[in-house]
Amino acid sequence: MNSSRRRFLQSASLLGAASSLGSLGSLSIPFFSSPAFAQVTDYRALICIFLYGANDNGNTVIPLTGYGDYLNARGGTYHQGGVAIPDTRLTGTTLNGGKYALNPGMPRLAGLYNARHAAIVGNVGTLIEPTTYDAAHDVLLKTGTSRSAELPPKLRSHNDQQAFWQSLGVEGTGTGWGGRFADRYYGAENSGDDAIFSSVSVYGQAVFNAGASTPAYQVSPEGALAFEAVTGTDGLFGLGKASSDATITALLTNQGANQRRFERDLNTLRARSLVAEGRLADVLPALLGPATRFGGDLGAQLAMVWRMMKAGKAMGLKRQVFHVGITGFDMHDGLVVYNGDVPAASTHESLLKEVDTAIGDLWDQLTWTDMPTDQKRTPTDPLPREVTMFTASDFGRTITPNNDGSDHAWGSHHFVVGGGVLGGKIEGRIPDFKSSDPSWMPRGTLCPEIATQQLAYTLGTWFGLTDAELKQKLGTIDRFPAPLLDLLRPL
Amino acid sequence: MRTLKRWALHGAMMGGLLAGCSEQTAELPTDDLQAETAAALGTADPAELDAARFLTQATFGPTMDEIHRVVTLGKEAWLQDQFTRASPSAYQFVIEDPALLPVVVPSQDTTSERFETAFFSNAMSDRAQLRQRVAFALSEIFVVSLNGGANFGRRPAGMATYHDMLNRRAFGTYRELLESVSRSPMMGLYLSSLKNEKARVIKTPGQPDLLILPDENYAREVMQLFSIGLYELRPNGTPRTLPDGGFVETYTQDDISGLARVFTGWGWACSTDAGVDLDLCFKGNRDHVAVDRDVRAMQANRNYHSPEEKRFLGTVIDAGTGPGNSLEQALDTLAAHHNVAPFISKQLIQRLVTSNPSPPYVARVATAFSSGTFTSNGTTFGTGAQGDLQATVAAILLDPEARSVNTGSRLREPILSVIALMRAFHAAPTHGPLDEYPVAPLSSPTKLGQYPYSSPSVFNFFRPGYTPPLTEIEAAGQVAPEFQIATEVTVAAWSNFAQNAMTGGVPGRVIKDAQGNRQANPIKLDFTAEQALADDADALVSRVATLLTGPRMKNATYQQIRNAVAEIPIAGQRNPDQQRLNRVRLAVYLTLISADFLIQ
Repeated sequence: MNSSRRRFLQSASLLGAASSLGSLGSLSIPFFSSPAFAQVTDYRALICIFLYGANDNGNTVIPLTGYGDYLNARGGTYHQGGVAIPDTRLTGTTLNGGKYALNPGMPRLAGLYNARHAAIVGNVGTLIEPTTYDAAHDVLLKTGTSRSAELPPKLRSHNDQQAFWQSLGVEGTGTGWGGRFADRYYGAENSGDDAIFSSVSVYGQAVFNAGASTPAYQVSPEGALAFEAVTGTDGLFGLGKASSDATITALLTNQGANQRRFERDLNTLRARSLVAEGRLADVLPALLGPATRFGGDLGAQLAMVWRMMKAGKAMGLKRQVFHVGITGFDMHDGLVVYNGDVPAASTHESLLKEVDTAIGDLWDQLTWTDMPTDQKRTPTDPLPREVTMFTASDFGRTITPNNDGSDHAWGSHHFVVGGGVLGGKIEGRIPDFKSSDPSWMPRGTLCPEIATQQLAYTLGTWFGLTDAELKQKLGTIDRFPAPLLDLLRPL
Repeated sequence: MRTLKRWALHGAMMGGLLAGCSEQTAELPTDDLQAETAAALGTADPAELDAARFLTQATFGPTMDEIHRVVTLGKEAWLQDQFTRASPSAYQFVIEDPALLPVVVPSQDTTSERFETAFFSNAMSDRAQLRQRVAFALSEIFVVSLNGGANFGRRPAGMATYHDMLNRRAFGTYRELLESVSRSPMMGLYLSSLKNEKARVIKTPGQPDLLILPDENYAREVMQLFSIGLYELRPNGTPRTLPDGGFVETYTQDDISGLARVFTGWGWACSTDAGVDLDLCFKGNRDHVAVDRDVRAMQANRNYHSPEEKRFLGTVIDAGTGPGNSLEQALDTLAAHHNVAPFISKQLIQRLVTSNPSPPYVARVATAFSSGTFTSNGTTFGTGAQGDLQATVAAILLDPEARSVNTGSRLREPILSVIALMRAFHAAPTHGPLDEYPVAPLSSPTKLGQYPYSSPSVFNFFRPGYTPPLTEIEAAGQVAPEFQIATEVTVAAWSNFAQNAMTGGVPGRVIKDAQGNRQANPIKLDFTAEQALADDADALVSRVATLLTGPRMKNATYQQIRNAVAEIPIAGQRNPDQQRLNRVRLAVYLTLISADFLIQ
């Protein structure tokens, strides 16, 4: 860092950035920290991979025993006018035991599952409390009573259900559970300026990352972006460097009483950007490591997550939460399209392939698989057991197709991947592809049997949060008698 | 620590809506800034500053010519004039691409570049600025996107036709607009109502019959996003509440399934050749669909239209009603719903003026929307037809809350910032026709994170109820939609963009010269008029402020910029013209990064 840049950042810090990056300005939000908490010394990172648009669960985990039901429920194969995947294409992605196969685009996840590094969470979705579907009365009933269950608001609505998955509240809820997990460590074990990197989105704005005290910091897949007017060696347009920096600083970060509310909030964001970029500019280049091996847009996001984890460990952070995302899953049509026997581009399979590649590439990086021999692991390289990735999505899709796609539904199947995962198993169940299944609602909408809160509780437990903390952070989790899923090894 | 409220419907989304909902006073809401008035900003003319603020809301950005026109005509007469102006056709622009002649419609081997250039060219040069600006606002409500799969990027004529439609319908009625949107093949592709079939049964020997139902996508989104929204609203845009504090949902899954039957049987426009098979056309057979299908309204085929009764929102369309008649009845039902006026009015206010209009402001605009007329200073706008958008737009722009300098805030979105900069300083491309603006893509967050017609989904770049976390905005219970795409990366990108634009111009697409060589084509800013004032720092900064911030620039900001500019010496310098240009560049750059510019 050159000296003028350092001076500039110091002056920006005078605004309060150094002491409370998350609460620059007059908004006073106390840090969530207490001496009662045991200090943690190890490192953990939790990575949310969000499949925006609602992933088609029916063609993600496919039954091989019971394939006939699947074929019928999905209207036959593409060549028969339906959306089922021909079983001849499922031979490369079978799971242990041969009862199920993953989508043909997911051979590496199938491999991770079979090697017990990945697990499937079957029929998970947004719930307020345990809920079952009573087909006889075509209503959702609360288990054991005759009164209707409380349901999440606006089922089947993209924005509302994305918000519920990420925040456990309606769209507009201020914090997400990833951010609330980070709150436990922000300002405590994750301390100083670098605490800003406690919760990071590489995808863009996502409520998942926002905490009550932890700001949701955002980087692009290329990293943070410098303000060139500040990092340049000369003052702007013939102005002296000192005057140039002073004027720009004042304009970018002014928190004065004469600023409008929106202006102060914009300036808070800009001050945070300046300080954080200055910090990353010091540490990220040294952590580039080997040439990027990550494929696809999602892979580029996970490559940045890898670097941010390395940076986080180098900075002494103990816990980090990440969000990455991929769009295009809202396939009301074009779900399965073949040219002859070859799947066309821009189909569900090609999207899942990108997910598969990105997860596989990060796993290979974590496990140092096929690395050039001159690349030695360093203490700041995250270890497989320190990292858990999981997929999430707006909701599931109808098993019954419309014409060449599927519509908005509810429960879905998701993946949990990492060195701490009790892999090679399906937690919960993959409902039968027929209307006699107890979870089957009209059009093959699945009534979830596992709540998003339970998945969050399980991931939070692995992350190091106590039962009491998690009950405070996870909405109606106390309505689920056995919140912990058997998915991850204890700390 | 803030505790997570119960999941129930008391989220921050509605916090802003609820604020002040019980007040119906005519007073303006007091803002957080007890600021100076515009009368004292350097040497700027207060009337020009006032006109500039109006034009920031009503156009893609002030120019000195347009400022003078508003000052001369007055706002009412300027609006009346604007309402009579037609816009050039983006479709014509697209098909006139010499590379594409003589085909009627560009083939799908082409790209969206020509459409994007049409968008920027019209935003820059069309004298029908109000129409352009309102159409852009509508494109953020009735969203179709080049990012939508289905090869939208290869349908520039179709996208241009959609854009032309929004321009044409911008000053008509909401009902006409809704029908044009619903019959657009681009919307049909985007929300999969195109080729949507009635329910059918698949019979497989030895298996139970399988019922395939209509696609529900458009039926859902037309209610949630294009007409009535999720919750029952009062005329002032605040949600009706139940005794327990909950909100009242406007529709159920049954309403969606009922309405989904309406949007069946619509396919590509068919060829008019003899021997055309309309069923094959519906299925998309290339030999039977019209060659210009991308630019023609969708065509109905009764054989694929749902024959059952259609029930939704209390309306019952009789069994056997055909597709055209069903569509008319369905859209009549939606357009007549009491939510439409506040739902659409509030979003248009947010797109043009302020993120947090007071409930009385929303109510005033909703009244103009419903009655179809609005009168200001003796000038009456609108035809009296329900949903008249001329009356609505006039009510939005002439409202005291819009005209007050210190009421309301809205973060400028990147597209509007870029075009405002280019308009203020008469930008021109280095190569090619002077009135064509091939602005290079800006969607990457390390660029600016936004580009026209490139939303990631039908939910637009940002949601009308978005509240940025850990902000004063949140603490005040307000919303700030555009903050959803403002990140640590994009705020730096804007500073870099502005800095580079001062010397290198706005990045334009590379073009090929006559010899086929690729040439950079920056869109250069013209600072001639400003350079002539540069010896007088006050005159210079006052002019730049008039063009870019209007009366929103605070005196403290003015002094900071003026003092920095005055530090650049001119007298006695070896190249005084270069020093004058430096002063201009500094003044413009500093103004562009000031919060006074970015918060409109």
